[in-house]
Amino acid sequence: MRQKLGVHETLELHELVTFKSLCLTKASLMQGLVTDPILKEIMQNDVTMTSGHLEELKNHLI
Amino acid sequence: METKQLSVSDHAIATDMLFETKSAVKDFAAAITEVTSPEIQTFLVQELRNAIKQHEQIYNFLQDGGIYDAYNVPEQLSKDLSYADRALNNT
Amino acid sequence: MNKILEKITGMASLTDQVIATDILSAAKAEIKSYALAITETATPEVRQTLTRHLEDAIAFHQQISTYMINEGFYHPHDMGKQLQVDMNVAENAVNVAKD
Repeated sequence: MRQKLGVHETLELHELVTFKSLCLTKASLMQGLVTDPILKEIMQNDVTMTSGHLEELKNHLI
Repeated sequence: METKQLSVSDHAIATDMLFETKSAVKDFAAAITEVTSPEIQTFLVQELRNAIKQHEQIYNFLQDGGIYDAYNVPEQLSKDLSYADRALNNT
Repeated sequence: MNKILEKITGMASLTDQVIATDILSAAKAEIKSYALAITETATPEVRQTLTRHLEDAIAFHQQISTYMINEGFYHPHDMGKQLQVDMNVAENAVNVAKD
């Protein structure tokens, strides 16, 4: 899929991949520190959403 | 360039700092365009300078550690993808 | 690191507030990054993916900001209260960094 993308698109996608990877790592590391069950649930939603997004972004780049 | 493998949390913290300093530079720059008081203007300009310095520091750290290579885009892309895999496997 | 953890885990509600605030700024940054990236797309499939992600990000922003409003961390309709919260957060941050 990658050869079809413009250079600028590739760079934007790569910026997003880095950003989302960071969000995912942080969300899973910080989940252990959270005490409020509602916040925990929101963070779990975040992890699920971000994992899905990251897979899709990767698929555009590979 | 040799790549020393940072621990997952060190890597996350360093990348977080890079993103935070990026946002700080943008936020201070935007705030300066909204300012009317000269004292606050001077303060924000000083803080903008600090933010740029901090960005340079953390960027150099990541570059020296071989985590970021701005001059070799294909290599950087594959590094980013393996970083993404690392993040996905850690959850 | 352990010292800091000890210090903030001793203040559970504060930790939750700090983490929620961090997630909120990440959500804000995410929306901006996606919006910006969409303006650089040329491939329809990429645009489609990014637009869908942007919508997800906006929905998530609503989740976290509603949570913060309900918890009293965030007062978008009361400047005075918000300022008070911000001052407390800033003071706590300086104290955590100090020792």
